[in-house]
Parts: sequence; C-alpha cells; structure tokens
Amino acid sequence: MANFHLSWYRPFSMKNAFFHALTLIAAALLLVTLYLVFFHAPVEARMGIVQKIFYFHVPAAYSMYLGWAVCTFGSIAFLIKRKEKWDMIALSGAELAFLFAVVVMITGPLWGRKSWGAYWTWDPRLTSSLLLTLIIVSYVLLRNLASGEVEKKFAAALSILGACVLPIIHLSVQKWRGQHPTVIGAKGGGLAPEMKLSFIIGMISFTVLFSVLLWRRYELEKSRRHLARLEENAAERGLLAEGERS
Amino acid sequence: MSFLHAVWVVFVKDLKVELRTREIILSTGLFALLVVVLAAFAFGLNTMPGVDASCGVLWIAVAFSGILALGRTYMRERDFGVWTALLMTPVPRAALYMGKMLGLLVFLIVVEIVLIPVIELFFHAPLLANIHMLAPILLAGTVGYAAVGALFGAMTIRTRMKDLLLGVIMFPLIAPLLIASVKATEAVLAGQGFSGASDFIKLILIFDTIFILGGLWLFDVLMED
Repeated sequence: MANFHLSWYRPFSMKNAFFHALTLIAAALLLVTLYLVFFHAPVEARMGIVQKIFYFHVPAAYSMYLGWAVCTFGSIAFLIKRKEKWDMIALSGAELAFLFAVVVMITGPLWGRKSWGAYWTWDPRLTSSLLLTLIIVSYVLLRNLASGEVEKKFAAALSILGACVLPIIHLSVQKWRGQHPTVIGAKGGGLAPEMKLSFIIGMISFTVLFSVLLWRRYELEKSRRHLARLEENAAERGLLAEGERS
Repeated sequence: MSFLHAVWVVFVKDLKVELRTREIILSTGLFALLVVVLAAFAFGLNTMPGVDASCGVLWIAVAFSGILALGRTYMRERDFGVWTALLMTPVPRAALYMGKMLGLLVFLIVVEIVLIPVIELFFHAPLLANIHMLAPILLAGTVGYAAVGALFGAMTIRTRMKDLLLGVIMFPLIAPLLIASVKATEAVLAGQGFSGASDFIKLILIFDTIFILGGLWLFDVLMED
C-alpha cells in the first residue's frame, strides 16, 4: 500500500505526460476524422448523408469487440494469476465494451432505417451484436450489484464463456437466418478512395480513444479500491464514523 | 474415491432428496405446463399457431422452468451447511459439478416427458410420432442447458446475489443453444429427418462440449476460497 501513488499529484511524471499526450492525440484524431467524414469523403449516391454514420458505427462496433477481448483476456489472467490488477483490467474492458455497444445500438438502427427501411431486422450481424451486447450488460450488471471476491470470479467465468460462445452465436445465427449477403459487408470492398481514407483514420482514432479511456478507467478503479482500503483501515482504527464512508 | 464414483454419489444424493421431497419436479413441471398453457392463450385459441410455434414453446418452457430447477437444486444445499460439507469431502470439485449437472439433467428430462404430450395436445404438433428423432435432440440441448446451469446456479449459494441475476446471466449465454435446438426440432417435425437438422445438431454438440469442459475447469476455480 505504501508504494501506491496518486498519479495526478505528480504532474511531471513520464507516465502522466504520456497519458496527456495520448489524450491530445485522440482528440486531434477525432477532429481530423470529423473533418474527413464531412468535408473530404463524398456523399454516397444511394444513402445520402446518412451513410456517414458508417464512419462512426463500424469503429464503434470494432471497439466493442476490442473491449470484450480485453475483458476476456483480463479474466483469464485473473483466474490464473489471481492478481487484482487483471480483474481491474477486465472490468475496465467490459465497461468500455458496454459504452461502445450503446453507440453501436444507437447508430445501427439509424443506418438500417435508411438502408433497409426498418430500424431493426434479424440480420445475422445485428443478431450477433445484440446477443453480445446482452452478455456485456449482464456482466456489467453483475459487477455493479456485487463486488465480493466470489462475484469477481463468476464474472470472469461469464466473460470467458461469453467469448467462447461468440463463434457459436455467429454460426447459429447465420444458419438461422440463411446466409444472405450483408449490406455492410458488401460495402467494405467498394469504398471510394476518399471514403477509405476517412474510414481508416476513423478506425485509428477510435483505437487511440479506446486506449485513453481504458487507461483512465483502470486508474480510476485503482484509486477507488485504494480509497476503499484506506477507509476500511481508518474505520478499524476508529478514525471514521460509519456514516462518513463514501 | 474415483472421479466417476464421486460424480455418481453426488448424483444419487440429489435424486434421493428429490424422490423424498419431489419439490423440484412438481414445481418445475407445473411451471413448465403453465408456460405452455399461457403460450397457447397468447397465440390465440382460435387460430392454431402451428408446428413452428410448438418448437419454440417447448424450448422456452424448458428454459424458463429450468431456471427454477437449478436455483432450487443449489438453494437446498445451503440449508444445514450441506454445501460446506460437500466442499470438505476429499473429492475433486469438478465431480460435484458433474453430479449436479446430471441431477439437473434428469429433472429437466422428467419435465420434458410431461411437456411433450401436452404440447402435442394443445398445438397439434407431431411430437410423439417423431419422438425417436426428437429424443436425441432434446437430450443434447438439455445437456448444454444443464452444463451452463450447473455452473452459474452455484452463484446462488456462493454470492449474495442468490437467484436474482441467474436468468439475466443464463439467457444470453444459452441463446445460441436455444436457436439451434428450436431449429433442429423444427427440421425434424417438418419431416426433414436428421439430415435436415444436422447443422444445428452439430452446433448443439459443440456448445455442449465447450460448456462441459469450461464448467469442469471453472467450477474448481469458483469454489475455492
């Protein structure tokens, strides 16, 4: 506990400088992406301005899977090594996956309304994303309603099995709906060069944004648990009344 | 005590308790029947919902009533510290998992045996005529369900959450199993035989394998202190 430090009390640490630099890069990249999306990429002929959702929708979906991958990786490491660090990484990854899942689930139907004429269809990709979102929600709910050691392990089990079940979800949904081509998949190959550039910069900026958020969420969780330990310590010594604890 | 012997002992213990109390099979079976009756009402009594709906109703009834069964099968281990005693016995934790899973499997199969004639009666679906092909699909699907259930059902005794979150955690995980099972059942009822259902049966078997192996590994980790 003694070697724990509050990173924002040491403004000149390399770690802090790197974090702020990364934040600035993420912000700049997002602005560049916005510029490219609205001023560089052409307006798509059939979909019109709505097609521009694509530049945020796809990177968000990718970030959602990335978050779940981080969560699963952290969960496996936590169950093997039993270090609290890995549990905090898993939790941070899952919450980011949840955040981006919300973005995906809002932007997706808007796209679908214009492209397919309905906010929702039981397309394989939509169904898979919905099921993953539900697994992510149940994980986040479990973590928020209880914070004991056993719950951490059950949540880790959920994360690992949830990742194992993803390919099965994908296969069963594809078989279920028949393998008709997906509109989004077909678009990938036929992007105009300006569109492709905007899309690639968008993916990069979301990756950097994801890293910044993951890092911050992890540090927050670290401080939160440190504070909980300090309060417990203080309460044990009678320095803190029960009502004063946060 | 060998691994298989330990599995057998836990399984027989659950069966004996159930034969004496009959609480799980009676309550779960009745609940499953009610799901079927309510589904029949919900689909409208005048227009016959047909064969497709009956497959869905069958599996939904199993999935919903299963939550009840697996919550109860673990909850009664809490009384008198039975679970603590079980954990203190010198058998692998994975054997406890397998024993619990088999117990759950048997309870659900009994429920299904009751459900099938009732669904046949209410929905006019040719379930009994195809029972030789339906039985393996039901068994495979129920094994997957029991494998997930026996693992996460343990949450009810290990955590403060009890059975509050059980359904919320179980249902997204078993969704692909449910899809594959319903589709396999539909294919068989449509007269396509095993060849029509083979893709979905394969998916069910992959699901079963992943969750049994995952359960055997994870149960050990989840039960230690």
